[in-house]
Amino acid sequence: MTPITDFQSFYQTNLKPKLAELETIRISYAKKIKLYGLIGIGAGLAFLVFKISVWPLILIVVAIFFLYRYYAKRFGNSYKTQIIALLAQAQDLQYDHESSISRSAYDQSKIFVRTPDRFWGEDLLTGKVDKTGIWFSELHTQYKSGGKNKSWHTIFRGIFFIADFNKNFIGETYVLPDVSENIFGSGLGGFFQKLNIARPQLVKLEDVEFEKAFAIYGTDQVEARYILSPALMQRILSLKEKFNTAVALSFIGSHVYIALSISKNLFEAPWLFSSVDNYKQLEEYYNDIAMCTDIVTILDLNTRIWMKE
Amino acid sequence: MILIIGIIVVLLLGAVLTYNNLVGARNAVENAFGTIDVMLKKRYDLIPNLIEVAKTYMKHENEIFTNLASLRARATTATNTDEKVAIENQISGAMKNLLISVENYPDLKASEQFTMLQRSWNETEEQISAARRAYNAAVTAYNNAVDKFPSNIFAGMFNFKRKEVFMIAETERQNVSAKALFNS
Repeated sequence: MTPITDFQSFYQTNLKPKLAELETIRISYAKKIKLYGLIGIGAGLAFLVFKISVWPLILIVVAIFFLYRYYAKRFGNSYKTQIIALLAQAQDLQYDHESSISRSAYDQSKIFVRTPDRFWGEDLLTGKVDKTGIWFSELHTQYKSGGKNKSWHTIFRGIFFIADFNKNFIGETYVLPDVSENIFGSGLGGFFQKLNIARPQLVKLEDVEFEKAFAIYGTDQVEARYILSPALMQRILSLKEKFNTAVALSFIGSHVYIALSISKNLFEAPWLFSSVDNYKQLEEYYNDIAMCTDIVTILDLNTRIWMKE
Repeated sequence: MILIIGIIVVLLLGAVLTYNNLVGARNAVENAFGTIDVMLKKRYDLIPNLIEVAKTYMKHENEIFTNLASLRARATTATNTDEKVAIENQISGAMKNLLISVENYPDLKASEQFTMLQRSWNETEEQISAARRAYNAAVTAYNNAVDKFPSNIFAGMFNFKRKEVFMIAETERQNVSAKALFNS
């Protein structure tokens, strides 16, 4: 990872020229919208003044809204492919704003039991941090509630992160936010955890703090402990602390899957009437990417002292 | 009359469930102990290979090798659990000594064969530690069943006794301290 002290110089040498290019595009789009907007609204007002009808004005306002959306999308795409991609490149990652973590990878993780009826994602970042391959993107999955008044409910929204895990294993291990233990305390909560039929056996670990935060399930008691070493438990706790949000993990098929619930939409372009050259925002996006690549360090995934290379 | 029969049936059913729960917990402990044994055997198999490779580079460390070899021989023949645990701890200590002296033999440290062996050593160490923790968790669950009401009544009747959890040996704890490592 490039340390953040470098961001200033990276901004000056790499980002500035690109931003200048993009700024001219933005200004031309903004001008078009202003021009068409003024003409349109003028005409609409004329209809109103001469008391012909109010409808032309309404239609024109709607049309201008769609015109804005059209240009904003075009501009947003250029912003992502040029600026965000550059921010990703600076951290040795590839960026594809139209892709996401695949549905099959999401299903494979088995973090969420409910099958989503709607699966949406964007902003896929992939790469390697030293020896560890990583993939992450924004995801939003929803299910539809049945009955007469159908409505959509979120299953997961946030960053879905996948990385190579540094140990070999064959079973499945889940580290899920502990809902029942928080509500019912360790006695009754533990009882409810055991009843969870959608999951394999409950694994009781010795780290009290970790047990309070998570419910752990695994197909193999020993393997779950092999994966969740005392050190890794502490590291997962610090990951949770750093992102300050609900974290769920699963260890399946030589990968670790991490679901980080985050409600903000990442890597979006600023709106058309403000400058693209927003240092603070760019730095924030840069930090968002860095925070995700940092997961490898936080979980110590590059330590390869075991059999897996 | 029906009420009395009903109460007896419920009590019997409860007794059966509690008893089975105790047996289940005890079997889980035995099963977990078996896993440790498997992992330990893996480690015994590694020792001769490690010695073989290290010997070709480390000409003046015979003492470490003979010590390791004899410990391994003792460990494979030991039958008593306490004895086994004691030897295991000594093996871990001897291996740590070996790995510290490897620092003086850069050729050995760089050799691919040795690196691979060291990796598999770490692997088995990690597996053993996981198996021990699983064993301790099983013992804790079993001990809870033995101590808690109402299953403690049956535990007393059918002679289910508390079991001991694995403790980390004093020597091993000392080895963890980095400060002690640098001072020695």
